[in-house]
Amino acid sequence: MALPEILNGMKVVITNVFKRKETISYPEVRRQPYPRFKGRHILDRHPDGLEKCIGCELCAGACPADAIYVVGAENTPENRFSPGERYAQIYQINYLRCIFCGLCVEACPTEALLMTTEFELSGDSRDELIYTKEQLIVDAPIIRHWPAKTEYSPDRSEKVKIKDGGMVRDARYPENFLPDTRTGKGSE
Amino acid sequence: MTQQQTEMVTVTINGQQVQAENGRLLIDVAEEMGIFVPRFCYHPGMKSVAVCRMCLVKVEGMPKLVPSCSTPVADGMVVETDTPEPAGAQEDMLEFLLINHPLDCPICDRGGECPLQDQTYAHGPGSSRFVEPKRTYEKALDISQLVVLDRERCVLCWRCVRFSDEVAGDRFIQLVDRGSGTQILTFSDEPFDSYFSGNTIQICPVGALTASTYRFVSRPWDLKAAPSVCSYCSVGCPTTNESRGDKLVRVQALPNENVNDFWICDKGRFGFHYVDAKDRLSTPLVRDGDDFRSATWGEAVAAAAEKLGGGKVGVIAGGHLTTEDAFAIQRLARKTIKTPHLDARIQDDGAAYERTLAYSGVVGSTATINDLDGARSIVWVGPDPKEVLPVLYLRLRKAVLDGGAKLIVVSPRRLSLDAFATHVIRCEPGGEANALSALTTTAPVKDDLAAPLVACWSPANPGRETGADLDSLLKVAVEKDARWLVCAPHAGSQGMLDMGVHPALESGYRPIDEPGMDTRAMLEAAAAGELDALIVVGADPISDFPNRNLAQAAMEKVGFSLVIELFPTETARLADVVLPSTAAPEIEGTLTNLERRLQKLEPLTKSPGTAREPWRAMADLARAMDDDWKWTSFADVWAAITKEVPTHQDLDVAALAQEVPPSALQYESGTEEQPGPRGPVVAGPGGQYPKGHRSGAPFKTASWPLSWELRQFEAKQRPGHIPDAPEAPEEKVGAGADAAAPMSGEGFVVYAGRQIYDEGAMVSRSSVLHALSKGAFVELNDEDAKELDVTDGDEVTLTAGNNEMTATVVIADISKGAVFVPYDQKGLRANELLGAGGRVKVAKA
Repeated sequence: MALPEILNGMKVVITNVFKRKETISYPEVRRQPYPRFKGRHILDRHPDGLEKCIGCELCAGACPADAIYVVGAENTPENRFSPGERYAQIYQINYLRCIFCGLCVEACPTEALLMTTEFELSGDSRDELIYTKEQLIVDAPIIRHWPAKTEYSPDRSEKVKIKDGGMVRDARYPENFLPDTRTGKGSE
Repeated sequence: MTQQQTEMVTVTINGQQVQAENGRLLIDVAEEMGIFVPRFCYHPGMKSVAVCRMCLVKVEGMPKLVPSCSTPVADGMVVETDTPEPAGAQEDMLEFLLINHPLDCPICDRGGECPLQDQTYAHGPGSSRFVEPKRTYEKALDISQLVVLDRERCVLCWRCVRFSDEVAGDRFIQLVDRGSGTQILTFSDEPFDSYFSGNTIQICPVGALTASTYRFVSRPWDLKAAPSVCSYCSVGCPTTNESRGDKLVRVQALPNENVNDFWICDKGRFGFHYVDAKDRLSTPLVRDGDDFRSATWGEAVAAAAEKLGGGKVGVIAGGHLTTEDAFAIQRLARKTIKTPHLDARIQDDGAAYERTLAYSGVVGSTATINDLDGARSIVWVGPDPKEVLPVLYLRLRKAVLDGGAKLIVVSPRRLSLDAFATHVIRCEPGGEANALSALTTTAPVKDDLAAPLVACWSPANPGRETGADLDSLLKVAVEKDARWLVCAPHAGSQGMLDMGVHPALESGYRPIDEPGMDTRAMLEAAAAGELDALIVVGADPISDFPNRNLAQAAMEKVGFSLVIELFPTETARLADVVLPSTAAPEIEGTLTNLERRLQKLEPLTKSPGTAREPWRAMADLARAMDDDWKWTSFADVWAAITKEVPTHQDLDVAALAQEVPPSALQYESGTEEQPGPRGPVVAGPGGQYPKGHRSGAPFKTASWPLSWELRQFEAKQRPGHIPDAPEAPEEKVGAGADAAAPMSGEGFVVYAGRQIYDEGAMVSRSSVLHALSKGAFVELNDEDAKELDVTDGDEVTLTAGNNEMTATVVIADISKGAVFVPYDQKGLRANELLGAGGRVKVAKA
């Protein structure tokens, strides 16, 4: 009487036994997020090296979590950080407060603030999670905490072995956000 | 203003009928109804010019749209402000204004509180058809130490030009060129050197004029604001203090038509950096040999209390303290220590404010600042109000130029008031009394002495105050049935008199039978080693008392000295115990201004370290001396004040609370019935227009609870009649040798006076203002200069006793035989010259 139901149920179980496992042994095995995943921010630069950020505080104003702290200051001919008059003397994002909504990126009038797909944000102290301008600026290396041996593409169609654990990333080359899956090579 | 016949007319605005006074401006009437007409050039503190064309409205029967800021209402007028025709015109005007506006809002200090931004959101087109390149200028010109000009952002509303011309009377900023090249500029090579320049920043409807001290410092949404009162001078202008985090970053004028209209001076606006000065005292200090060591509050208080228990104790209080501090000082001295020796007159040593008592029953003013506006004549005796009481100068100027009052100035030197005075009477320093006595009998002047008359007096003869000039002035005033403004110099001076920090007066102006010693007598006693202990609260007699050597000797010789101060001043450095004090933006308190108006200060930032209000220090000292006042809060102090001070008995201090008015206009994005940006006006946080200005109540009636109205107070105190003739002035108690310095003798008579920017403890800690101080100069009569063979700009040496100083000559209109020296400038300390007999020898350097 109940046999068809049992067999039906077992069919589901047995089919899934032979399917690909969705769990991976993170952090040894890592899966790249999709390219539009909202992770930690970077502050971009113009091609001539000047900061795009003008310290206008609109990101801080837009932030619903009050995670951003900006103090502007005036560029001088000797000390020029950005085009125009104003630059961000202090730029901090508190990742304990950030909810990764991306409103700050929308608010940014100069497209200085962008989001990467980096999601591995952890630290030993609260202070460590307040990222300063030095850490957020685009040419600062993005450092991961743990080495990974293997990395999957977002849809897990590709799998790449990583040399040296892939600890350091460079946010200047967005294509290198997924260096392993795209090029098939391990990170430097 | 004189009483006008107020005829009411009926006007219909946007379908709503309203009764309004005939002749009032349409823009004001609409605003009182809650209908906001967009505007840039219109400002209630200045005359309308209708240049921005933003406030165009449709009036039935008129062939074209009319600017509502220059159209008076008339009976039966039917007005539309938001129908397609006026709304379209407003939209077009905004599109025009934005043609050349750089739209650099992200880096503009005004961004977030900008009337142009807000009105563009509410009334603007949303997009521009202008594709050509914008007009550009050099960005950010420093037109003075304080003001930065960005001509690209300017919408040519003329507010700054009109302000400096109409209100401040010093034209430094002007529109130049024509057509699309019109721009705002200062005259070539001349900085925007006005004492009121900061007001143009506050009224600028765009970010064209910004403050150098606030440049890129903050955004309006970062700011916390608290209403306060400027503690620089006794005008007591209400201000809005704004802080980012716990750092005070901006001070703006808080409009109050009874006191400051819409304005404050640059000293009040930019002089707040002393609060975060590096050398601000944050911990009590106890003398340890030649140096100090840090101590806990309790330790320092115990050390001080031990020495204050017996013997002869003197108390000297400064002029920047609150009414509560004054009350506590008086209570500690009279009740706990039981000493009659207390005084709060330092620089105005000997100023006989109490002379007014015989005439009016109060010590201080009987007039209000507003009385100036209705006056037919005003007499001014005292220092230059532009330097000492800047906003009172604006009010005097308004009373004369707008109100038509006749101004009579009695002074030994040319004052800024002379420019619009009807009569100027020169006298020798100290000779004001005689000049005043002659007023009512001398021909052209007496005809202009007509009631309503306001007689203004402020102490102007440091080291030589006898009260004779005040007495003469009061006699004139009584004869002419006038009211008077008796202007004690500092923000807290009147509070000190009210609370009885005076050797001859108890709180509530009750005379004491056996007066104690005044400041000079106390210092003399201390210097002679006859004083066992001296408490100095918020004062620096060595810098300020008109006899530096005496003050120095007093601090050195006195048995024990306790100084309560913000900074390690020269006086504090000689003290035995120093307690850190609090600054005005950090405390809840009240200040009494020169018209005896009590105004409330709200706390905003935190005091450094263990600094406490002086009244707490007084209460702690009393507790250590076994007299527990049980004061823990501001309310406790006021409970005691209302109980012990007869004049303040019925005062409800809670009613003094001021509100911070909303700042830049803010708009809702629309309603369901009426989508889009043209939604109703709502109030937001910040500080540009007064609250009543938008919420429907007329501004001119000051609808928000502001300050304690003087009238309530007067009703109780003024005796029914004014005495016929007060007693002849007696020789001042404690008037020392230099007070009685003979007018004849060798050398020039020193006439000293404060300049707005000097070496004072607070201004010298504000780098922008300190840089503006004029430095060592001496004013000489041209005849005297000829005799000395010097001209403008020459260096001279001033010698008085052992003191020799160098100063630059300024040939000025000053009585012959006198020199004017600024009180406290770099390299020139008038109190050293005054201390050496009040006469100085001048020689070409």
